[in-house]
Amino acid sequence: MNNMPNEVVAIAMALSLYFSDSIHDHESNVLTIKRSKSPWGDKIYQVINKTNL
Amino acid sequence: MMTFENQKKIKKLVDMRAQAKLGGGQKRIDAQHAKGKYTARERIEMLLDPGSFEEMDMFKTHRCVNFGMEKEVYLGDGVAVGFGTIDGRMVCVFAQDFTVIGGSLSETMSEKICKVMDYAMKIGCPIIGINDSGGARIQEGSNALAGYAEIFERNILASGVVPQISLIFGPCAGGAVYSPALTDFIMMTEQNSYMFITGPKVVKSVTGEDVTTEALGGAGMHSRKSGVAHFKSASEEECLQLTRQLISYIPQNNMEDVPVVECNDPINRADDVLNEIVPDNPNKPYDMKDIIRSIVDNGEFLEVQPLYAQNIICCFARFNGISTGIIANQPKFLAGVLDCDSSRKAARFVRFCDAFNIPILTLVDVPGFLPGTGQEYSGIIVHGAKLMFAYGEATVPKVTVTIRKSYGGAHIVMSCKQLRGDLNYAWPNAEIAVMGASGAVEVLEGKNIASIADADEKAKFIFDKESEYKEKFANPYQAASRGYIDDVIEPRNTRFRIIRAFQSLQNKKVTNPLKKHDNIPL
Repeated sequence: MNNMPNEVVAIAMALSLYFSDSIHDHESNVLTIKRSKSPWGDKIYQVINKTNL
Repeated sequence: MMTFENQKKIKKLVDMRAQAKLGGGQKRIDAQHAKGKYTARERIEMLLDPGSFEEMDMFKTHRCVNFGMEKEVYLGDGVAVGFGTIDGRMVCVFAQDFTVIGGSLSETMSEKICKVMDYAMKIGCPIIGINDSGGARIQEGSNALAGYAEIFERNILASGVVPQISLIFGPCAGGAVYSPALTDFIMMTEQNSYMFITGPKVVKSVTGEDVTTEALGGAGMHSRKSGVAHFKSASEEECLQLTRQLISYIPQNNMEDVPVVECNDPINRADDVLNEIVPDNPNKPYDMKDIIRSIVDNGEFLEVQPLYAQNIICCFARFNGISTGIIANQPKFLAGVLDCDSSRKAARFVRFCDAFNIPILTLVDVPGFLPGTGQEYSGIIVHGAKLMFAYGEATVPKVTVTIRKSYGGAHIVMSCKQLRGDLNYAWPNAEIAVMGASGAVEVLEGKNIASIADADEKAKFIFDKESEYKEKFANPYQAASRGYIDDVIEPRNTRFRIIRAFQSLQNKKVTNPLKKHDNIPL
């Protein structure tokens, strides 16, 4: 490490930072969907096989 | 710490996502902005709650290799699709990206739109489509046509199941118009937005007619003349805000009840102005919107097709916080008469409300159907029947208030008791009869009138007979004596009576006979 030119160290450091800390697939990290109880997804509608009716 | 290889993979993902978001590239985005238009993703961001949009199929590309298309490949292929929220409620969205090959519809674009439509049908939420497309991608031949048909079939199957809203923010021509036409509401902007089956050039070559794009299919024409557009906005921003407002009135799907918001407006707020609002002269107009403003929560309502067939008002409002659809004759315009356009407009609105469990309030002041060859040749019989059919088959709570005139066939059509109106009220100045006094006397006493030679004597005879007719029918009590009117109410109390009526109907259950589907007169 001591024998490396300063330029190489700087480039290596920059690349490391670039790939590790600064590059992320950023999410909004907010959940805006309100929880709701809806008859649409009521499980009773999913226990009947309508094709056999 | 990540390995270098993993870092490279994440960087590739981030780069590809950035590339997809660029659509057809910065140059084309700039061109889009120069036209006063936003990009697909900018529109979605403005429509949805901040940070709520999750995009699907960002990396999907077309498969066409005809006419050099293999060199024109863009991530996402001309449409952004996904889901997000409006005031915390789920919606599915697709927005065509004009920067990618003019937003032309490819097989792949169709697959993306269909995927998000299927997702909406799975989770039971509204579908909002933002249209900005030059039409079918010609290089794909029948694949593009098949793609359209796949979308149309989904529009048809989703109709009446989840609300569908189309925003037209650019060209929408040829076959492309049928997807919006199959949806519940079409919104257009004053600039850059047009819809037609064939453009001005084809019109010129086929019919020789010179017509501008705006006159042929602009927002002004569609919101006033054809009735194709339900809302017209000055800008895209305004249109997107209007969409959010519209969504606030309607349920997520056909199994949900209507949204309820907190109501700060007193339910017993009486308005003395209503006792004076109807002029003594039955031929004098007044503005029905003043009555609507007075009785709904906070005076707020959202009018649908406000510029089309203005003799009838269709709007969403709230009573005690509960969304309600209002249909009202407008005496200020054509005396509130029913004609082809107003019948069609109201029929569609009634059917939307019924499909999505939205209670219906009908405010009646109708002198009858508009007579004349113009109306008969245009099929007023069938159009009037549409409205009657819509009311008659509707099973949602239906409350009717007769404000003034309710004559003849138009009385029957406007949610009368026998069309399963649940609670029918009338103001004391209501007139419910087969026709107005002068017309009735002409029919009943025609021979006697003709036999009187003296002009003064004739005038007195007509006056006496008209007075007798008015005494008998120019009030709500003859209808009330038969139970066709459930109660006569003082105008100032209308708000409270409507709220109590709908509250009483909250658990209404009515079913129609089992059938594959009805055969509404189309």
